[in-house]
Amino acid sequence: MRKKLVTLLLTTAVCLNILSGCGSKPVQEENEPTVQEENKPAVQEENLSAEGVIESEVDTNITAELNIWSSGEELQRFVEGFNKIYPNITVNITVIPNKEFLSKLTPVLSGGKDVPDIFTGESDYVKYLVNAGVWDDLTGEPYQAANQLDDIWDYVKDVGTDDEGAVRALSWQTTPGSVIYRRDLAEKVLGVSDPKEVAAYLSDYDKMMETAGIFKDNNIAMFGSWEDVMLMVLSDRSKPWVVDGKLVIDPKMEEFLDIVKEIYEKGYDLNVSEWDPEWIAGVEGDEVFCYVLPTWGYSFMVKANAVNTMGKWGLCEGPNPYINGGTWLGIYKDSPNKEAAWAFLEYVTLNSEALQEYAVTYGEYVGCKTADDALAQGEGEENLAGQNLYKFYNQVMAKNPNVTITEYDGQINTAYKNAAKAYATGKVTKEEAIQQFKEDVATAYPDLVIK
Amino acid sequence: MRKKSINNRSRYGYWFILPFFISFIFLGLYPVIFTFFLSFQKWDGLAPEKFVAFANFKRLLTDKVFYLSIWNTLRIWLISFIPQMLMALLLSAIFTMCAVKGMKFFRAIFYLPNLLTAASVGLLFHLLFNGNKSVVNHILKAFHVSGAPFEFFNDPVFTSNLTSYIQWWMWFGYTMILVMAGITTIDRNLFDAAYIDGADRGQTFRKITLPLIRPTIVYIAITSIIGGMQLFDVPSTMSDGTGEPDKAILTVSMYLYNQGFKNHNYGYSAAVSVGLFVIICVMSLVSFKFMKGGEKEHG
Repeated sequence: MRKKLVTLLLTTAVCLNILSGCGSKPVQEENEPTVQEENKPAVQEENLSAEGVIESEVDTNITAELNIWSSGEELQRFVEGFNKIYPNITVNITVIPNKEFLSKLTPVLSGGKDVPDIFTGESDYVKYLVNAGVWDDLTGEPYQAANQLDDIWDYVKDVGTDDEGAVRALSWQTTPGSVIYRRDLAEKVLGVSDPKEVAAYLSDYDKMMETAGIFKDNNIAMFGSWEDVMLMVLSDRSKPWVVDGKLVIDPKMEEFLDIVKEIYEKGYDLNVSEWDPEWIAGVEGDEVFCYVLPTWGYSFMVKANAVNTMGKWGLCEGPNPYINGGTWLGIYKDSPNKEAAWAFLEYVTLNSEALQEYAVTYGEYVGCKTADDALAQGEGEENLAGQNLYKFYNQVMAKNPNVTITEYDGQINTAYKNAAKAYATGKVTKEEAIQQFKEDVATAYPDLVIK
Repeated sequence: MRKKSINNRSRYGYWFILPFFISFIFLGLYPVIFTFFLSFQKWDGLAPEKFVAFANFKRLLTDKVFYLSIWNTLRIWLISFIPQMLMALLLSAIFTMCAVKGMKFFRAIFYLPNLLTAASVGLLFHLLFNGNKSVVNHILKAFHVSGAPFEFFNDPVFTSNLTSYIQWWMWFGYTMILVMAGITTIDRNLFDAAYIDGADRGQTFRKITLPLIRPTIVYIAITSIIGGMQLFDVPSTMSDGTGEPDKAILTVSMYLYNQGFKNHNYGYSAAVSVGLFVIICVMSLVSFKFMKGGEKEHG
């Protein structure tokens, strides 16, 4: 009996150990980068030596091991170039999917142990991290970045700046938006395909919906999903969701509810959510006219999936200029490797040559103005039938799209989408939808004043 | 002399179970105590905690969404558990009483869904039903079902029942194996005696099998309640963590996860967790009572 008991206890102990081992150590993943080797950027020797001269006053012999947590794969792409300047800094990048990022990061931050030297923050929660002061002020010691920030787009700086004016995070990218449309379908239905001419059909929201009707008559859905359109409407507001601790529902957002209802009822979209397989598959079919998405939507979604439709795309402006999303990175305030961390952050976000090289390889619009200007002089993109995306996005940035990022955005946007869907599908009236939205926001953020 | 060596050896047992208890204290007990501590704090995860006494619990008692999440969780559990139990009883009755050819094969097949990761099952069903061009809608359209394509995930009743169905599908094989194990522990002589006395199969099942596997059934019920009340992965992956439509599949665990990791109300999230703990305790106690009552009746 006793033997049996011991066996039982042993078995239980082993099993439970396995269970607790699995359950409670999700963060202890390998520090090895999970990123696949991307195509090597064509490094030009002249550039490098030029960089060498520029960087000569900086100590490039720093020896350190940097640990970086990133919600995307982009940072890994900078490592090779960075190591050419700083050969003794080992960069370990751990990619953690965005959905799990905060739930892995906050316990580590609150414990204060094994915190990565650099970690990223996406637009949905970057303000939460910026305002919490977990990243160092880059304008203070030992970085003194203040005089280097002129070349950065204001959006990148503003979002990374906390309420006291300390710049805590920067980004390699900036993310203005566009209407990414199919030139061939525009030609077929509207008889025009040039970005300016197509934009005339989208000059305001009423006109846009009229155009959607024309496409519907030709059995083409104007949009991939109405959720895309919301990205643009968010910049049409004059105020963000929260001002001085109070929830603000801009009249533009209320009008948007009717737009969603019309899109749903008249079948102007595929009736799926963003990132659903069907939404992505729309890129290769002939059923969707456009996607309303920022830079990342073009490079990661449309361009990445366009094979048969390669070269048939164009970028034009919608009813209002907009900017949405982005990923920032900052240096942990108690990092023991601040010097090395700054070397990397500076290389990734402020080094115009490095950013140009990156942009040429990966086709992303970057956060450095001189880099974008230089790229705007270059050749256009094959997928955009020769249109130069840097030139296009520069024009959007020149219009100063409204920036409305708050630390509450992730949850509030989700709640608004749910309310919009309930109204569009006829489950509730507009007033009930807005009431539901307010209740959801109150549940998520009980400290906000909601009227 | 011999006695002593047995005693010595028995002490090894404690050494063997020590690693478990050490890891349990740090990975099991400490988080539990910390959760209780947190439920009296206001904490956003980064700034220092602030003691707020019972404020979180006061909010919890008047929180409509919390009650809704309890109801959702209970409903999803009940709708999956009852058919699960009936199916398990039926199948184990068939397998133990009749000589079914390939019984082992079927038993393995029925158990298979339990081996899949719940999260991937949630995603799989999401893919099957989501969108006008989903697999299910394709099939329905091919059969000219009127009204197809359907917006399945816009219907709260359907989504909730689909979750229950998935839970049923994943767990009935496991329940069946436990019931069968319970049945095999019954002394075969009892059945033989009953047959000699002229009892038929139905009677022996009702009068002998069922009463004698009662502890097994109660064990299954209790573990199922505990697991069911903590339901998370399937509804979370099916609704992208939101519990939509109309919060129909927002379970208590999802709600506390969202309050903690999405809204950064870790104190309140801990209070929800304590609330869930109390509910599970009460339900387990009721089941225990039920078992004891049963034992007296049949003992």
